[in-house]
This record gives sequence, structure tokens and C-alpha cells, in this order.
Amino acid sequence: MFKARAFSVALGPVKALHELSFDIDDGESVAIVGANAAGKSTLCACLLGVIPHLRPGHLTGLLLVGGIPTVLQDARAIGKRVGLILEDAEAQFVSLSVGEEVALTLAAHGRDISEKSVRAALRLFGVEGLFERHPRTLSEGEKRRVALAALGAATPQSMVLDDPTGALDESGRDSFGELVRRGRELGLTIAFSTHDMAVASRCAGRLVGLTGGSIVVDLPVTGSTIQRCSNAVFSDKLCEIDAPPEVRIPLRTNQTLVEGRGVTFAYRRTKRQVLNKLDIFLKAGDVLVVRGPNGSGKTTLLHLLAGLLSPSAGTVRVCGTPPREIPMERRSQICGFVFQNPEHQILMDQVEDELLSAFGTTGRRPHEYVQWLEWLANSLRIPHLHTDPHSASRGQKKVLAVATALMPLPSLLLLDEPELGLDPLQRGRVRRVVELLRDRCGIGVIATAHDSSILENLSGAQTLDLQKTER
Amino acid sequence: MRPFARTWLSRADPRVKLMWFLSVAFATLVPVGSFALPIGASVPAVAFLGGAHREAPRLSMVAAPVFLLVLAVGSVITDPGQGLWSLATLLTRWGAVIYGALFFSFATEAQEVHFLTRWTRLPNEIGIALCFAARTVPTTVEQLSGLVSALQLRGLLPFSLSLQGLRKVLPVLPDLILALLVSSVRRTEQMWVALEARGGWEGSPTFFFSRDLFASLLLLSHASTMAVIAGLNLTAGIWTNGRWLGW
Repeated sequence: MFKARAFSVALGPVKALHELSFDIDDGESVAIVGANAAGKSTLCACLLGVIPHLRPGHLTGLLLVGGIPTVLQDARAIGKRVGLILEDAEAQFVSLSVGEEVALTLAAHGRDISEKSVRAALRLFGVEGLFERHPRTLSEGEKRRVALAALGAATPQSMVLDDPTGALDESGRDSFGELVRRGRELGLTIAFSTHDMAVASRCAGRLVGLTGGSIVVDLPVTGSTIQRCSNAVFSDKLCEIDAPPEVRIPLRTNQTLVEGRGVTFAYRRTKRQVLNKLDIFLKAGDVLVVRGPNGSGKTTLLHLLAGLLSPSAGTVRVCGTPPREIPMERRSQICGFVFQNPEHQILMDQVEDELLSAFGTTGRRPHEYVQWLEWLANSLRIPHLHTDPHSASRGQKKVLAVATALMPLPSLLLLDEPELGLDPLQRGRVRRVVELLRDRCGIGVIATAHDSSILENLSGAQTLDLQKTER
Repeated sequence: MRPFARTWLSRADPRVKLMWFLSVAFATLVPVGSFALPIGASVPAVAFLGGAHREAPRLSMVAAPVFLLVLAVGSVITDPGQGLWSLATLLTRWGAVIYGALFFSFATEAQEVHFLTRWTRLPNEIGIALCFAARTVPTTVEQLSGLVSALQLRGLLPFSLSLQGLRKVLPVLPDLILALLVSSVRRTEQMWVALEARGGWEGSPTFFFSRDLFASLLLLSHASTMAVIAGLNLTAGIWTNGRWLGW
């Protein structure tokens, strides 16, 4: 189905893929594994014809889809045979309701698009209740489930899936495994990218490991090859992160950062209650991991703590003040927030500007923070300061969002699924930075996660489990 | 079948919606010395807007007072005869085109624009431009909340707008507008890429837009009435003294 010979891609001055040669035969399921910015998404975009037909890129060598070079068939023609899931699920939604979105995928592959079929497709991934919702109002995991449900029902000849399990909880990953298993039975060709070796080993028959745009391993899945592949693609040792530079902020101890009593929240438009009489407390230096399945209200809770939403009942105080009453100029010093989808918070067109914009109207002069910025940039390996953050990989955008939130050294850091889109090395770096800042500066952290979080292992970390409410 | 998140009217065939919008725009350009034509065009546009998209009534609520204020000021500063008449006619024509465009924009999805492009066999580049034109306002409205949240968290925007907060907002307003436009354009481009990469849409119309026959018929009849009236006015000279368009 897919065949590459000495295939290279340059995106502007950057060589994204280098001399790739591989075959993906009909009926095969292949996991493309690699660290952040290894070239996984670029390869998926090439297999779909998005590069060079819809996004610019200089291609050399040969890449065939269905026996025809991709440069000789447009993306539309490829799209009729190859189903896709983009890395950013939101970027692929074009309809105003989930039902229409699923129907669009079904129609593109010539399937029945009656309401019954659409509902049956959604049932596959347990999201039938979202039928009439606007895709933008869904959580990241729900978006991913909807996209997978549509594809599962459409059963195209082949599928190229870019990080399909990125925001999924355990049951979602199970459903994905089932989809791949069913696809194998039907003889579908499936290529998917991931940096989760557990998913790769469970769902794929073959592993293709990418590092720096080159294939470093190409092995069938067996007990020993999984570790070999993991060692090859994540070979970069987790560097020792230096202690943060001295910043003129005293260590906060025993200060109550978050105090929420009887917090209840229901969305006004849908009347859907997502939080019910929740009590939450956090002191300086504490780490709290909020766990729950997709759609259980984890993000809503963080939005309440940040002041983006107001509780329907109950009270929330951050550093002794209701979040919405914190003065504008102190807001970024008190609370740093990392969205689940970093696309939603990257505003500037240069990495450096993005980092400095975190100071808001604090009046602090950024030159006092040069050392601090350098430390964050080195510790988290954020993209070069003078590059456009929008052109970075999703993982790089995520660490940039973390660095931006940390720039003013806030008392409280709210991380909405910090692992999402990060490879194991980057996860380790984020964990270490959070640990250092907690120990040295007394920063309090609340992070959300589906099942388990990298932050759970930090000493003294607490957990809070949320249940999904009926819709 | 009950429509999904949208109303019955927005589900009309996109070709009919396009014809309706073009006829409204065309009708308001015809040199008719009365309100009849632009009002005839704008009234259904305003009525349809309310049912097209949840954000549309808000826009109408903002636009209507501005429209009335300009009309009131115009009536004071111009002569009560021809000046006011001209201004009112002009504003009514603008209103008809703006409301018509907003209706088309809010009631037409990216895949419908994609379908129209394929149907008219326009090049891809023009399709993207059309998509930008049709989707910019709704996409901007969608992007606004995310962008505002990001700025609020950085302390660049207040959570609720007060006079004091407004003073602080004004310096960042140009940056906000620029960031909003950039993110809106980026999102529209993403939509187009997603549509193309998913095989686009070249097949026969489906339940997305053709199920609601009544909506299509209503729009089509309105479009044809407007087109006939505009055509009669344009060619009035031919029927009376053999002149056409004042020539």
C-alpha cells in the first residue's frame, strides 16, 4: 500500500525526513515510533499527500501510495482511499456538530450516512451521547474518540493515524486496540504514529523507529524488539537538570494556595453538571493529581481555579482571593496555566516573545529574568528562541506552554494533562523541573491525568479521583 | 429527521443559499428609487439570521442599534428631503448586504463551501479564498473565547469589563485583533486541509443540506423573486423608451 525509496522531505531550511526506505504491505499494521520532533507527523502528512499538495515541502526520492507516487495524485484522491486522524484532532473537525462530523467521514468513504449509522459509529467508542454537541465543546479525549469512531465505521482501505491514542484514557485505548484488531481481520492497512511503546506493542505488527528524521529500527513486534526499539528511538539520556537560578521570590511555606468548598459546576447551555460539591485544598509545595476518564470534569475544575469559569455553587479561593478578583497585574504571578491543547495559548510568532508575554502587565522588566529564561529553555528543551512556535511539533508546543506558564514563577501551576503529546524524555524533563521548583520555590501544582501521571511519583503527591457524570 | 446542532434553515442546499445571497447583493445594487428592494432583501435575511446560528442574534443586537443611531444622526445633519432619503436608502442597502452576508456565513459550513467550489469547478486556490470569506466571521467568533482566556490568564485582559479594565485593555487591543485574525485564518486553512485530505466532497447532496426541502424552496423562491424584480428594474428602460441602464 505504501512504499518509500530514499524519500526525503525538507520543510523550508529544515530537513524533516532523510532517506527513508520502507514498505507497508496491504493488511499490515505498523507503528511509527519516535520522540518529539522526530518526523512522525511529517511522515504521516506525506503518506496522506498533505505534503506537498496542501502544505509546502520539498520532496526527493519516491513515495508511493497504492502504487502511484503521491506527487502525481492529489490529496483528495489519496483521502478517498486512506482514512486519517490528525495529531490535533480539533484541526480536522470542520462541522458544527459531532453527528455531521462523523457523517462527513462516512460519506467520504461511500458509507451510509443515515442517523442510525452515525449513532452506531459513535457507539463503537462510547460517545453516542455527544451526537448533537459542537466539536469545539468536547474534551481532547472525546474529540479523539469521535474521530476514531467515524473512521472505525467508515473502514477505509487503509488508515494513517497521527498519535491516535494521545488523549485517550484506558478504555479509549482499549477501543483503539479493538479497532485495529477488527481492521486486521478485514485486511485493512494501518499506519499510526505514537511515542507510547505500550500502545505500539499492543496494536502493531511492526515497529518503525524514527530519530531525527531517519529510520533507526524497522522490526516486527516481539518481546525483545520492543525494548530494542525503545532504546533506539529514546536513546538520548535524560540530562541532569541544573538547579534553577536564584530568583527574588521567597520560598512559600504552609501558605494555603487553593481552598475550594462544595464546588459545583453545571454548564448553563447544556445544563450538564460536571462537578458536584467538591472540596479541594492545596498548600504551597503540594502536588495534586486530578484523575478521571474523558469528560469527567478535570479541565472544568482547572478552569474554575484559574477564574475562567465561576462555580454554580460553592466557593473557590486562590491565595485567599476568589480567582476572578485577583488583580490583572498579579494574575500571572499567582497562577500559571497550561492548556490541554497548546494551540489554544500560543499567541506570539516568536518563541522568545511568547515566553516574555507571560509577564503580562506585571511591570517586571524581563531582563531580570534572562537567566531564568535560559534555565527554562535548557531544562525543557524548548524550540529556538527566534523560531515561529506555530511551526513546531505538538510536543514542542506543549513544553513551550509549560515554560511560558513558569516564566513569572507563579505560586500555583495548573497543568491540564501535561503528558499529552510529550515523549518519555520530555515527560521526564517536565517532571524534574516541577520537582525542582516545588522544592526550591514552594510552587504548588495541580495536574490532571486520565489514569496515572508522571507527577504522581513525586514525594508527597496526592491524588483526587473524579467520576464521569451522566450526560 | 431532527437537524443536529443547527436549525432547519441553515440546512438548505448550499447552492440555493449561494443563489439567494447573490440575488440579495444584486438586488441592492439596482438603482431603484425606493426602499422596496433592499428592504425586501434584508427582512428575510434578518429573520433567517436569528435561526441560523446561536451567535448571530448577538451580532444583530450589536448591529441594529448602530444602524438606528446612524440613521438618527443622519436625519439631523442632512436635509429632510433628498439627503435623508439617500442616506436611508444607502444604509438599508448596506444593511441588506451585511445581514445577507452574515446569514450566508453563519449558515454555510466549510464543507458546503468546498462542495460549491467543486460544483462550480473553481480552482482550489479560489475555493480556499471563498472558504476564508465565508468562514472568517464564524471562525473568529469561535476562536475569540480561547484567545481571550489565554490573555486573561496572562493578566492582559480583565475577567469582566469595567471602565478601569477598559483603560488597560485599549493598549493590547491592536495585538488582540491581530492575533485573532491570524488564528482565524490559520483555523480556516486547517479546515480546508482537513476537507481535502479526507477526500473532499464531490458526490450527490446528502442529508446535510437537501433533506429540508421547505428551507430550500423558501430560499429559492425568495432568490428568484429578487432576481426577477431586479431584472425588471434593470431593463425597465427597454420596456419604456428603449434605454437600458440609463444608456
